[in-house]
Amino acid sequence: MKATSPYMQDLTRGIIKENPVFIALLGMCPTLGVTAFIVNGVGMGLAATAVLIASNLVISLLRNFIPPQVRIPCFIVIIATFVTIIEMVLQAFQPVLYEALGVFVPLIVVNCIILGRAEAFASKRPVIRSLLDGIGMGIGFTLALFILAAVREILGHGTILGPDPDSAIHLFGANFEPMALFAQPAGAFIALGLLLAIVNLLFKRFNIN
Amino acid sequence: MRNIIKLSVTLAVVGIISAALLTGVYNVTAPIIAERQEAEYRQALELYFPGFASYDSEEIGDDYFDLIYDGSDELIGIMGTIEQQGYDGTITYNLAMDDSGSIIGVRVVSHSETPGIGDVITTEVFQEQFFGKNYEDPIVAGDDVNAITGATVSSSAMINSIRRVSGVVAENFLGVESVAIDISEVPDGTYQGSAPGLGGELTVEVEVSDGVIVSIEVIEHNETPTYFIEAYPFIPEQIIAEQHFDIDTQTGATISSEAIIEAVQNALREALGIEVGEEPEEEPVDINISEIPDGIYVGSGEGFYGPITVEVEVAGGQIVSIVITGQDETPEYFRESNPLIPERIIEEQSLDIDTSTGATFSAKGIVQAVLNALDSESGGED
Repeated sequence: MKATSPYMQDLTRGIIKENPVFIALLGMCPTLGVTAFIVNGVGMGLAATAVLIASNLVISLLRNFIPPQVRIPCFIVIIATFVTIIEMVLQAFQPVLYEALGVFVPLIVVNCIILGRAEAFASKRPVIRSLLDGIGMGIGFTLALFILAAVREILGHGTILGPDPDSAIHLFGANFEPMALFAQPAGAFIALGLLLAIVNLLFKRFNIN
Repeated sequence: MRNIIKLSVTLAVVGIISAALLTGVYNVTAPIIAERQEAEYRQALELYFPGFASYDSEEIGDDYFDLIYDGSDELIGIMGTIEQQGYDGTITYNLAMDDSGSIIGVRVVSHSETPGIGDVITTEVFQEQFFGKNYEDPIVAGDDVNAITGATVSSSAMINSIRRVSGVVAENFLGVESVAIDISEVPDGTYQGSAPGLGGELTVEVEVSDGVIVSIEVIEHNETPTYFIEAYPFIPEQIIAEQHFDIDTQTGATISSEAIIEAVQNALREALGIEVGEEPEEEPVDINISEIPDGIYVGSGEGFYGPITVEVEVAGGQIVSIVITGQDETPEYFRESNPLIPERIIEEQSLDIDTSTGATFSAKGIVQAVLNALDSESGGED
């Protein structure tokens, strides 16, 4: 592999090589819960990304100020603050998405990707690198949710851009009988398992690691 | 020591800054959220009540109602905003009813039921089954509406709440005769009443003495034991202590608690002769016994636990004997009506008799059965 600057590595690490969903298998709860439709999956990905970037930034800024004994409670308060802000903003400006994501928005607080990056990265690195790490991990998470949601929506509903009937595009015509299993939570596990297998295969094939 | 102070101060500072930030964002977003919810509510009103021009708000207990008027100030419907304890937190919903009290819409405003399980309450399939129902319908899970398997708590909470609200609306806005229970009017005795709980019918036995409820026992129920202990005997104790039914049901078992209260109320309603359930009491058709030809007639009526069948013998234009040939009533209650009620009918030679015994349901069932037997004879083909 060609040598890259540490900044570039921080940014790209989360997208493929250490993808939080496909490689680290973190944040499975929203991954499985909201990916029945692409819009919801990407919405969740972006909401989590916003929290991740903001918390990485603030935690990195405060890393010399927060004593190690109380770092976890501080991280959680900071993360919860941003999640609550996102929740209120979504409710005010994106009510449809807010309804669709439901209880998964407040659950971003306990998304282990965010606490994981805070503990493992942002609390030990300078601000710029933490910011890039947050962006990269956020993109990786959103990308993974997008892929999983695309598989599930196309197979489980036969549409893209659903569930809103105004924007939904039926890929196979109105008479298509979708595989409803993939719209269900059990289908989320199956689709995720298949995707993990494909990702592992590709990693082996192209010798990434 | 200095360390502890430093740790505390750090946590406090982080907490204070975060609180300040949240307050700021809340102040910006709260009015927008409120405005949007208001707009959505108006939209729902326009959907349910096409001629809607204005509304009056009224608060009854913990429920809010908007009385909807059209352009010429005629009442065209009622929209309730109800908060109900669900499986996980509060369910807020709107119940739209037309001017006859029939449900025309259910709209869940907010809830935090389990995604994929309890959130069935937001689906059309679940909500549609209430449409067209009104305060005269039972609205009981397993009777005229269905709870959702796997989401029993969430769906039963909605069903029971809608039943309660449709009664509140009928009493307060539609001029349906109030069925308020005056405990001091209840004659001494022991009464049974039932109401649907979470696991099915729940039956209580209420003892009244000198116009005061002295004991309440749940004699039959199918509630989850671990939850039921939160409601029983706590709720009966509250009712006995306060001698009214407006008590706090926010225990760990809201639905069971509400079922106990409703069952006690039903028992006392029966004792007071207030009709429970759907059918408005039919005026007993006083049939002309003297015109009935001699013979033995059979008929059946509805008792508390099923049909009561009778054999009525008429001779010379008079009822000479009434024999109960079949019944499923509770023996110690049925004893109160039989032979008392047949004796009264024979004595008065009329079906318009006093049925207030300790077992009103059974008594009415017997009268109904005799009427059924004689009516089919004198009335012909029925």
